[in-house]
Amino acid sequence: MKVARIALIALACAVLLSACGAGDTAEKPDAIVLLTHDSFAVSDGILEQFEVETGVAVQVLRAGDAGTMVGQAILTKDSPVADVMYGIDNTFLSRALSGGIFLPYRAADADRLHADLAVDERVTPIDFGDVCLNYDKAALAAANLPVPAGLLDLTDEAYRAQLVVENPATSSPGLAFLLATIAAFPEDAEYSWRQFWADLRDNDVLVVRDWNTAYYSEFAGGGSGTRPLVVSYASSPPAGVIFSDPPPDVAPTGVVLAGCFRQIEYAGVLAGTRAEPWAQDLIDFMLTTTFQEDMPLNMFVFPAIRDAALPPEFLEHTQIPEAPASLAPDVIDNGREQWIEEWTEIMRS
Amino acid sequence: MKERKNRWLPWSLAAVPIAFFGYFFVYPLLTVLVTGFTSTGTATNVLDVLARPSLRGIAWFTLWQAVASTVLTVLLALPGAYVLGRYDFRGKSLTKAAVTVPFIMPTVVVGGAFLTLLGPDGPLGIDLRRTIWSILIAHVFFNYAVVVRTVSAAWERLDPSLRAAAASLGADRWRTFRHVTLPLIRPAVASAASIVFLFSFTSFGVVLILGDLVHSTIEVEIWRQATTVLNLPAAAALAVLQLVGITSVLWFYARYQARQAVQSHVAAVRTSAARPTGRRQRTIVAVNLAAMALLLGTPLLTIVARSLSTSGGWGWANYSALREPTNALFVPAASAIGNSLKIGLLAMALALLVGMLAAWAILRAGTRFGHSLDVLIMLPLGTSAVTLGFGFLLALDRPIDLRTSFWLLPIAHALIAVPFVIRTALPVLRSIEPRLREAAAVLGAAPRRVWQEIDLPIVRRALLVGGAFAFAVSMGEFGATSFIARPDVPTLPIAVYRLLSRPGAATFGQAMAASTLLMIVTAAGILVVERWRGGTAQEF
Amino acid sequence: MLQCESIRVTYGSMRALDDVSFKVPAGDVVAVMGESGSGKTTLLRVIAGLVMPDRGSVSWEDRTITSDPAHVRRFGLMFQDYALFPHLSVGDNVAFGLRMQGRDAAERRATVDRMLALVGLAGYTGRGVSELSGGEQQRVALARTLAPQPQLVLLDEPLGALDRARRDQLLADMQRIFSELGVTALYVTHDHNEAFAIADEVVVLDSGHKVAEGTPSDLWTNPKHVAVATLLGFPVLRDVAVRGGRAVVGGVATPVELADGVYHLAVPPGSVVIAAGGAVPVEVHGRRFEDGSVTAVVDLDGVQILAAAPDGVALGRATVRVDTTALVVVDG
Repeated sequence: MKVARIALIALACAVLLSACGAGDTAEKPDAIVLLTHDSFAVSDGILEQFEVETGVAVQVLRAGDAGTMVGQAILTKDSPVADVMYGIDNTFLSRALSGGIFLPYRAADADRLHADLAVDERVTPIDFGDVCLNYDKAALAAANLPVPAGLLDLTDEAYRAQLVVENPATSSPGLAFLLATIAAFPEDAEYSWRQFWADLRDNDVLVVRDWNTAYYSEFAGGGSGTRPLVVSYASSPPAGVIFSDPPPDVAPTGVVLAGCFRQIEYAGVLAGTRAEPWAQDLIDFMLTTTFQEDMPLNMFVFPAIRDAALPPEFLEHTQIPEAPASLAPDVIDNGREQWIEEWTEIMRS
Repeated sequence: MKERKNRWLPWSLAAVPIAFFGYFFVYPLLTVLVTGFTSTGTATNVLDVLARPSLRGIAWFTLWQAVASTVLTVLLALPGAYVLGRYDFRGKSLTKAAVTVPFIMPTVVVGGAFLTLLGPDGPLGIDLRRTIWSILIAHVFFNYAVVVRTVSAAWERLDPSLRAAAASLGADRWRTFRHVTLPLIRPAVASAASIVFLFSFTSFGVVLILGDLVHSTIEVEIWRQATTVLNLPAAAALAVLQLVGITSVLWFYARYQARQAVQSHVAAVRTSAARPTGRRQRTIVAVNLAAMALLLGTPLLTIVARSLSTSGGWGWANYSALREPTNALFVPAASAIGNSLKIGLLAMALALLVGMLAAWAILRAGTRFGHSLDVLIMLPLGTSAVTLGFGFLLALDRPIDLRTSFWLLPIAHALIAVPFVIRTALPVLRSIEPRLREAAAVLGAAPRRVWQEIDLPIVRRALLVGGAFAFAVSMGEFGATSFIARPDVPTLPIAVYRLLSRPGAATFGQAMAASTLLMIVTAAGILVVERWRGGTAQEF
Repeated sequence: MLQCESIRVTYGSMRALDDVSFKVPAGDVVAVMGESGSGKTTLLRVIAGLVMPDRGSVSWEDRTITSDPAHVRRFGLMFQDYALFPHLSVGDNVAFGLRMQGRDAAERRATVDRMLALVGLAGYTGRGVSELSGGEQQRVALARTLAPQPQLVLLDEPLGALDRARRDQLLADMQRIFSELGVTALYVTHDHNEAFAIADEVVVLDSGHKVAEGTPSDLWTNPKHVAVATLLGFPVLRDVAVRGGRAVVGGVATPVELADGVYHLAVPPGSVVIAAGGAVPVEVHGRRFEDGSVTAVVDLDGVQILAAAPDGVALGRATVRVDTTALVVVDG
């Protein structure tokens, strides 16, 4: 009966071990839980600094992509698995806010934030990134094409079959780019975003599932692809330099600063936390210079506080767009599904 | 009349599996469905979603691609089943192990390989990406083993004298196949086809990666509604729709399964496989093996090749990099191997305990209760991972908060692995002559003693085989794992996925290296299984 | 003593056993005889405790055991297909019942050796059961059944699958063993030769009913029932009308010593003889040479009858003499 015995012992251990760790006190916890998305990354030793300062460890719980994370948090709001959520962006924010999953908190260093990032008293902006067109310098030159001046250039016959974009239904930069076009060519304008996408389609735009495929498989600047234009991030050129071996002096790709869409990532204290003071401490910690300056090279985003120093690769190889497009979170939330559905129809026909 | 047996025995045997599946499957599932239906703050309501014409398209596509995948898989795998069932040759158990590897490879890993192979630069030279063909080919790739293993086992057990008898009655080769062999292997084909249909019907990763939402299954739509659109009532409604479909397929499957067991009871247990003789037979074997290598081997070899390719040519750099901690994982990717092994062993232990008791309960219970239990236990295989993942989060917070516990992973894996234990143990249990148990009883063995002295020793090897399968399934499980909020103990597939979702050629190479390790560990596991298995029958 | 009282068993709507009562006195061997489907195996399973009767009782030494489970009855049951445990060796099969009784290893080994010697398989202890021939398996099954010294031995067609020579051999062995051990036994078979050879008393079942009971010689001289006659191999002339001391047999009015009425008449061997000038004309269908003499297969009122015949009997028309005094009236 060896089989049965092994199984029984395993089960008994399971029950015993999980029985520990249940508790219901407002005392100082050993650890607080940070719920975040799969793209979260941080250098060694940074989160340990928080533990040294507060005596509370940070346990990181990655819940899939941003949408999955928000879905989970809304479903479990009566009994949350975490104390703080980080990584919810402006495209999902409105849904989370109306779901009532956050407790209000104003970060201690809120004054140091870029002025236009904060939108609601319940969440604190931690970083931002701009979704912009990227171009491969060599491929564009080889095709005898100038860098496009704006979105409308893409519908020009000269740029036929030059662009690859991500599907907004499956990709976060894809959605951001769709929102950029909606901001640039509003519904009621004479030339609406629908017309723009129909023109892009007729100009042989390539739609792929996700950013990885677009950038690494189709974009000339990412490795194996051929198309000189891609929807990516303003931080992609420095990332490309960093990941190249050896790093080139001049980035082989560039960013079109017009027609960008700004994604802002927020953090908030989750309602139902049993460790609210320490959850607030963690939000404050994420606005410290230490944490803010660690983010760019780990997640390729820009710090949300004004006085954080950017790494040299960022300073050298990219710029922050002056006037990126933006839409109010509730406008995005109300329109998103409809827009994606219409977009799918347009691209299919 | 009353066969003298304890009416409560099936129920008491079933208590543990019913409690396990009740608490870790039915309860979370119901909770998430109820919560989904009653949650507010969504842009559109359920009826709007269900009435949308695009949903009709999705439901239709889900159904017909599942039928097409099933037909294609059965047609393509039958020759392979024939060769593995009828012939003995050197390296047969290695072949069987290799054929099974795709079945338990995570789709995230293989999907990428398919994109390359089916692209314009692939060996086919035509761009099949985003076409239905890419989805169908991938479904054949993943499910080939289901048909080959089940049907070749049935073929092996066919009495060769039946063929001889048909031949002596004047039937040519085709008519012998048509009128003798086919009817005898049909239950095996049908039950394998049911499983393939089930997997294709609920296909997620393949359709997501290769279908690009141009083609979408209900499963993908559930995921989209739950995580992108955040329309939870719609997701819940779709999940119910899918569950209804799955349950009916499983019911059909359970009935076929029971019928097939009667057959295996009659047929000779010993293998009828023989060495191929003559040029014709040797050609058949060789051609089939080549076809298998092409269909199954190419995507896997693509992954191996990528894992060995570094910026400075071929080398082991990607493998040695796995020992370094990465920011994507916080821990060296190599530590994921340890996590996977630990979780795999625990999941195996759980699956064995639950599966063993459930198999006995199904065997001892009446037809209706037995079938219901069988269907219940198969359901997690066909339940959307996002539904179940959210269900865990909603339901398992009291009395003990298991949601962030390490134990949730082995438990979730066991849910999916139990069917494998049952499918290996049941045919053996069913083939035990009831007379043997009666003989033991008359000789003075009380029911528990009968179980211990007769059933257990006879089924022990099959249980170990099922356990090894459970282990392998746990090693490769991705869907449910990725939806469970978890502390940082990444499994190998999760590590691969996280590495893949980080930019950069270096992490990509590491992802391929980790995938290759996963393949090797899995293949080794199955090879051990094959050694153990001997003549043990398996239902899939 | 085993006593069965009014046993009834139904399978769905079919009565497998109906109101069956009989006894097996201590030390006796009783045979239960019947065609397949007559309920004899079911009866054995009821006694063994594997089937619960719908009605009636089973008692042993005046104690009712109807609802005792099989494993506490201390009866031995030898299955038709032997049901040897495939995962155990010959020795472990034989020792199984002893192990269930908690006997120690030394005692088990001694008993196993003694039992295997008794059935003529000394030295087979370590063999696997799948290596054995049919006859050897049968002997192992017998040894396994007897080893725990059951109070009552139940045997279900124990010689069913064996060839004739082996049957005779084993039958003789069993008789010897049973008398040596003083075994009380219930022996189920469809073969009257076996039943008569081994049993003190025979119970005959037909469609779930007990139709006859008696010593072998009682049954042979007076089969009492069509089913018994059939089992004994006696052809039966059905629905023979008797009027005024005459019955029409083979189209010929033949004198019989019976009152007016309609009878089933069993035809014991030797009561029909082919004879030139016999009263009844018949058609000879076939010839057999059996046990040193010639027998003709003749058709009498649609019933095939074996008739003693002269050596040179030809196929075709012939006449027979019917010894009407030898015919036995049986119930139908």
